[in-house]
Amino acid sequence: MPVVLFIASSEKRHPPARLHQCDLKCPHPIPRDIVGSRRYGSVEGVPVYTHMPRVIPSLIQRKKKTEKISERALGLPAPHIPSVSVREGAAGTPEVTPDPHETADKGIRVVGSVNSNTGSRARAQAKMGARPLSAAMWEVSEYIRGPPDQQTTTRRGSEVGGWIEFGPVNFEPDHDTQLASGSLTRSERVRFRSKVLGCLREQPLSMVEKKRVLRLEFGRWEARGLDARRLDHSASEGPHRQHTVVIWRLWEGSLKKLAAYFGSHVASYFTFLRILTYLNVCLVTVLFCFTALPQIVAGDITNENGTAGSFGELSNTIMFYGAYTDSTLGGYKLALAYFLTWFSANVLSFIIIVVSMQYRYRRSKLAADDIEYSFAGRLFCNWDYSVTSKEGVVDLVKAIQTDLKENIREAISVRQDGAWNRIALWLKRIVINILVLACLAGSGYLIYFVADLEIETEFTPDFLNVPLEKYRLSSVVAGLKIVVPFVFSLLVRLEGWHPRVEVKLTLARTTLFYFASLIVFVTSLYDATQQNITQNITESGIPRNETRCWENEVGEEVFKLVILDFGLTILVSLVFVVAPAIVIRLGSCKVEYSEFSVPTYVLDLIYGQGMVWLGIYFSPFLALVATVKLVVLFYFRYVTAIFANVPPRRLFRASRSGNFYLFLLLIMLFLCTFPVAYAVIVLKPSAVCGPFRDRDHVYEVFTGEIGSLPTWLEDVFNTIGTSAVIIPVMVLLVLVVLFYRAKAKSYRALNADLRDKITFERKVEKRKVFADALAMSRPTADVKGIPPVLHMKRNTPSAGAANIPDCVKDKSNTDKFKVERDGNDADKCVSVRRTSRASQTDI
Amino acid sequence: MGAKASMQLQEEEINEIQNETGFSPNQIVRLYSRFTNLDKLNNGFLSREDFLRIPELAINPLGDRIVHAFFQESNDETVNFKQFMRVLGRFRPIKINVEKNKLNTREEKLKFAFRMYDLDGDDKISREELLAVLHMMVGANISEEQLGSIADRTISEADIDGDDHICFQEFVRAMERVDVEQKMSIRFLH
Repeated sequence: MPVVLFIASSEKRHPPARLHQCDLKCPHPIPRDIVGSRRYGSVEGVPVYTHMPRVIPSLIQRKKKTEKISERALGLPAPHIPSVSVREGAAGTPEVTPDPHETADKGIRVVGSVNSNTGSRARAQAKMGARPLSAAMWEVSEYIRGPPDQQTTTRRGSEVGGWIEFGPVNFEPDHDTQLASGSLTRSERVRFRSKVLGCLREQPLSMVEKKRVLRLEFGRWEARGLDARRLDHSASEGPHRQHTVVIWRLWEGSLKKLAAYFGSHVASYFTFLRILTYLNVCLVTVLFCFTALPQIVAGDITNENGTAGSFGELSNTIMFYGAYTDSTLGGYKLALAYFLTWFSANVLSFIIIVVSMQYRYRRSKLAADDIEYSFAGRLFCNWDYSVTSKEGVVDLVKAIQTDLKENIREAISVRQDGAWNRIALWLKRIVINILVLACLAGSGYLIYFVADLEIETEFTPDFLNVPLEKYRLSSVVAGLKIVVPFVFSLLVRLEGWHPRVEVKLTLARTTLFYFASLIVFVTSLYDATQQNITQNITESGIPRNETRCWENEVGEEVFKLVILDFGLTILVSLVFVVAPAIVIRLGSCKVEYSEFSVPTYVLDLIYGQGMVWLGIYFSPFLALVATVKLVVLFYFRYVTAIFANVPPRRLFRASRSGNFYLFLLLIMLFLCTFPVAYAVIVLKPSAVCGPFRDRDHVYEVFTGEIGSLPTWLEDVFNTIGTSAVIIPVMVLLVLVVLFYRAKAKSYRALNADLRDKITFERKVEKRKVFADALAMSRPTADVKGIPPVLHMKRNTPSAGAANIPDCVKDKSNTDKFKVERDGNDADKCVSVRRTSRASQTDI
Repeated sequence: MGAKASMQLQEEEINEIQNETGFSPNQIVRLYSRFTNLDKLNNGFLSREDFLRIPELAINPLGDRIVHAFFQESNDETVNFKQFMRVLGRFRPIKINVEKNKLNTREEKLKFAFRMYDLDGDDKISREELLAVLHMMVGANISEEQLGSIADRTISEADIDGDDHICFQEFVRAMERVDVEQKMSIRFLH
C-alpha cells in the first residue's frame, strides 16, 4: 500500500528532514531538495511519496533552468487530494490502520499535509469543530512535523488529531498506481470516482484548483471526457440537439451577435448567405473532382486551337468549357463525366436547398413559442443574471430590446380606420403595382436593346478590345439590378403593408425583375450563339482555329457579370452605406446611417447564385469564384453592418422568411437550369472545342452509352420514354402530392388540438394540485407555522364555477384562512392577511 | 481576512445559520468572509451602497432591484449577516435526496423574484412597476408607447382576476413553465 505524503510550501521553513522523526519511521532521511523526487522509500514496506504542491509554478521555472525535473514530477497532483473520510485516531499516536475492506493492497494513504496558505483558514475550521480535509491534514502534519510549539500542538492534537483515509487514489501514472488502479474493478472505479468527486466538492479550493486536481486525478483524457460531456450538456440545452456537424455552425458567433444587434430579420440574411456558401463549396468540390481534376491528370489544360476571348489566355484554359476534351482516362470518359457532373451539380443544389428548407421547417416546428405568457415570460425571465461583464450587459440589453420590439410589433396589428382610407389604400396599391409592371417592362426592353446593339457590333475587331464594349451588356444588367430594386423598395413603402408582407412583396417583385432580366440576357446570348453557329457553318472555309467557341462566349459573359456584380455590390455599399457613416463619424449630422436592407441583399445573393447555375456548364470554375465571393461578402457585410448600418427601424420577427428565401432560390434554380438544359439538348455544340466537339448534340454522349447497353435495358429505357409510362407516372405523382397535402393538413389540425389539450390539462392539473396543497396545509399551517403556499386556492370543481377566475373565487372564502408567512425569524415575520387585500377589491 | 471573519463568528451562530439555511459551516465561513469584505465600514451590516459597490451589480441594469429584494428581507436600510444568509439560502440548488429546506423551495425562489418587481411592497405588480423595470432593462431605445403596450400585454396575459395588477399567485402561474429551480440556483463553493 503506497503512502502519499503531502508536504507543502511551508516545508521550506521546516525542512522535511524532520519527517523521519515521526512515528512513521521513514527509514531514509528525506533529502533536503525534494523537488523532482517523489518516492522516498518505504515505511514498513509501503512506498512513501512526497509532494510540494504549491510550488508547481516555480517547479516549472526551475525545470526550464535545470531540466532536472522529470516530466512526471510536474504531473503530480495539486495539494488537496480529496479525503474520503476523516477518522479519529487516538490523539498523539497516529497509526496506519488500513481500511478494512479495500485499501489494503491497492490504496494510497495520505498521511499529512501542510499548507501555509490555508493554514489559518484550516485553523479556523478546526476550531469550528468541523473537520474538513485541510484542517485535519494540517493537524496531522503538524503532529508529524514534531513539536515545534508544544502548547498548540498538544492542544490541537488532542482536539482533532486523526487520520485521513484516502481511498485508492489514482493520481500518478506510476507503476504502483497503475497496478493499483488496474486491479480495481469497473464498479469499484466508478464508486471511487464518485467518492473523490464528492470529496473534492467539499474542499475550499477555487474552481481552477479543483479542475487541476481533477485533471491530475483522473488523467488527461478523462478530464477531457468531462469537458466533452459538459459540452454535450450545453449543446443539448439549445434547440439544436444534434451538434455533430461542426461545419454547419460556421460563423455562429458572428451570427449571434448580429441577431442581438440587428434582430432575427437581418440575421436571416446572414444565415441564408451561409447556406449558399455551403452549397457552393459542395458544387466546387463536385465540379473540381469530376471534371477539372481528371482533365488536369490527362494533361490537357488548354485549348490550342481556340482564340483568346475576353479573359485573354485564360479563356482557353479549363476555367472555361472550351478546353475540356473528349479523351478517355483509363475507362473514365471525360465527356460523359462532364455532362453527368453538370447534371449532378444541379441535382445536388436542388437536394441541398430542399433539405435545408425541410431542416428549417422542422426547427420552426420545434420552436413553437408559448402563446399564453409570451410577454410575461419575456419581462420576468429575460434577464440573464449570470452576465457580469460590461460588454455582455450592453449586448444583452440590446438583444432584449430587439426581441421586445419585434414581438410588440407582431402583437400590435395595424388597424385601418374608415372605409375611405381603405379604398384609398387599395387604389394606391393598384397604381403602384402598375408602376412596378411598367418598371419591369422598361428594364426588360433596355436589356434587350443593349444586347441587340451588341450583336451588331460583336465581330468588329476594333470594338472587341474596347472594355466598355466588352462589359456593356453585363454593366447594364448589373446597373439595372441596383436601381430597380431600390425603386421597388421605395414604392412598397407607400402601400402600407405589414413589414413582413412588405419584404416578401419586394422580394417577389424584384425576383420577377431578375428573372425578366435574366431571360432577356439569356435570349440575347442565345442570339449571339445562333449567329456564331451559323457563322461557323458559313465560314467553314476558314481555318478551324479562327472560329470561336460559343460556349466560351456565354461562359465569359456570365463570368464577367458575376465579377462585375460583385464589384458593384461592394462599390454601392461603400458609397451609400460606408461613406455616410464616415461622414457622420466625422461630425456631420446632415446624413443618416443607412438601414440594413435585407430584401435587396438577399436578392443579390439569389441572383448571384442564379448566375452560378447558369454558368457552371460553360465555366466550371464559376462556383469557386462564387464561393470566394460569398466568403468575402459575408465579412464585408458583417463589418459594414457593425460599423455603418443601423438596424431596420421597424423590426419584426423573421422566423419563416428564411424559408421564403430558399423557395425563391429554388425557383431561381429551375429558371437558370432551363436555358442551359435547352442549350444542352437542342443546340449544336461547337465543332472545335469542348468535350462534345465531335457530336451533333450533347446528349449523344449519354445516349451513346445507352446504346451499348444490353438490349433489355435499352428496351426499358425506350419504354420509359413513351407516354404510356410518363402519363401514369405524372398522375401518380399528383396523387401522392395530394395525399401528402391532406396528411399534412390533418397533422396540423391534430397539432392544434393537442396544444389545446395540453393547455386544458395544465389548468385542470393545476387546480388539482392547488386543492391538494390546500387540504394538506390547512391543518398544519396554524400548528407549525410552516409557510404554506400563499394565496392558496380552493377549487371546488363545480361546473358552474369553472370559468370564474381563481382569484375571484378565492375572495369569497378568504376570511376562512388567514395565512401567515413565517420567515422562520420572528421579528421579520411578514404576515400577509389576505382578508385586507380582499376587502380592498371586494364589492 | 478569512481568519478575521471566523474570529467574529461564533460556533452557535454558525449552527443556527446552518439549521436555518442549510449551508455547510464551510460555506458559512466563506460567505461571512465575503460579507465582511463587503462591509467596508466594518459595522456588521451592509447598506445599499455596500451592495452597489459590487462591480457585477453596479453594471447590471437590474442590480438596483436585486439589492432592493435583498432589503425586503430586513425591511429596513441594513442587512445583517443572518438576513444576508437567509437571502442567499434561497439560491441554494434544490437537491432531491437532501432533506427539504424551507428557504430554497420553488415558492421562495419565486417570491424573491416577485419582490424584485414589486417596488412598493404591496404584493402586487402594477403597470407602473412593470414600466419601471422595462425602463431599466431596455433603456430609452423603445418608444414610450411601445413600452406601455408591452406592459399592458404582460398584465393582460398574467392577470387572471382582472384587477390590472399581477399578484403573487398570478406571477407563479405565469412562471409555471419556467425552470425556476434551476434558473434561480447558485452553486456555492463548498
